[in-house]
Amino acid sequence: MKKISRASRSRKITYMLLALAVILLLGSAVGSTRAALTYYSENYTAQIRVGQIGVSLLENGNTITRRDYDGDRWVETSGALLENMLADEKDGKLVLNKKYTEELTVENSGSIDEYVRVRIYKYWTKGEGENQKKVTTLSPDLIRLNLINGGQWVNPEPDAKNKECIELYYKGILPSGKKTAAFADTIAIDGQIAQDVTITTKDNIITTTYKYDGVEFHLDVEVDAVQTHNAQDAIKSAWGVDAAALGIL
Amino acid sequence: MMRKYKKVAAMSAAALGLVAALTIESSMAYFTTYVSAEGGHVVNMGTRTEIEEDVSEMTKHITLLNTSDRGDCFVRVKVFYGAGVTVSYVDVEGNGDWYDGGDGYWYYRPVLPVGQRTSQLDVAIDTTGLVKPGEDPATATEFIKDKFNVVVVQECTPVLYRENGETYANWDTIYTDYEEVITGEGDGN
Repeated sequence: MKKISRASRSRKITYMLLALAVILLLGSAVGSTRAALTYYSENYTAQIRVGQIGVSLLENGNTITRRDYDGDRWVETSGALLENMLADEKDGKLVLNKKYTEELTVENSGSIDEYVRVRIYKYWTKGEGENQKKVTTLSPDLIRLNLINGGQWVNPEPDAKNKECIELYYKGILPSGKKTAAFADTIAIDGQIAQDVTITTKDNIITTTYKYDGVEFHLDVEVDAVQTHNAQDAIKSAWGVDAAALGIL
Repeated sequence: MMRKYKKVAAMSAAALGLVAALTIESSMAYFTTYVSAEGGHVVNMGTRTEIEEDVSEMTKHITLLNTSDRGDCFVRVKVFYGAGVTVSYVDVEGNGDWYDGGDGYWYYRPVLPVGQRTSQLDVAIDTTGLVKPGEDPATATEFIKDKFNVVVVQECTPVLYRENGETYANWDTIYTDYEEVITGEGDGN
């Protein structure tokens, strides 16, 4: 009889725990629907501005693209790089070896401070539309984007010049509304691209044909920003790198 | 009975764990954002030059034409002729665009843009020294002025640029050989 009573008590405790767990589970789901039913008076609402992250990429002082969180939505504008590069050239033709101004900067266009990094992709293609293919026999290094301010932009792999992607991490916090120092100032296409030549002579005409005639160079820049709160973990989570080891905190 | 109790307890613990997990999820998210932009340009390269040559009164009138639709270039010419023939060069416009490079070539100084033509270079041919093979022109009594060849060779090289935008030609890297393109033939009078 005593044995039965103890078992019955244990079962009661178990059922109580189970019931409690179910109530907690239901409570977490019901919470949001209750919020919608709450009345409020507009006269007494308070505007509380929650931290909003945002970042912009600037080319030669002009904002090319931005993505800022504003209240409950992302505000985005997008544009293209290098659109005015050949504006001063006769017939709009690219001149090999010539340095064109290409000052690239990042701006914190959000309302909270942040850490930023940029990823620069350089590559060659040939053809248009669906027929466009990457030209892998041309080195990305022939697209000479001159990187500057190495003291503020940390490059984990400074010797990997032939890589298609270069990562640069801005050292320290970029405060809201501020701009970084530029990470690049000029771009030039190396004349080595014109080294492979076929010359044909017919009658009184000489024709010089280049192996890489018609190739297109590409410069893509990605900018990533992450919050400064709990930065070490946030950067590890978002970018997959050890911020302390890179020396950017 | 004991087994049943354990099962219920395990289910209860799992339910509590799920509830706890719901609260943990939000603390794992971080504020992040990103932007990206891209751009690029096509690199057009290639030259095509054509020589035009008239002969009158023992003088060749030479102009070169850039017929390419792609690239500007620099041009030069060289004149070949046999023993006994001498030539003299005249930059017709006299502005120094054509100059003697001292290496057998006459160079056109300005860039030759797409679709443009050089100014005229005249090559005057003197055949008064033509004698039969083996004879000394100084003592020869018979001259052969009716048959000779004067060959004009054109070459071009693309315009190169220094970092400050200044143009220059590099004749050594691209053209290591040349081919005959025109054979001029005079009648000796």
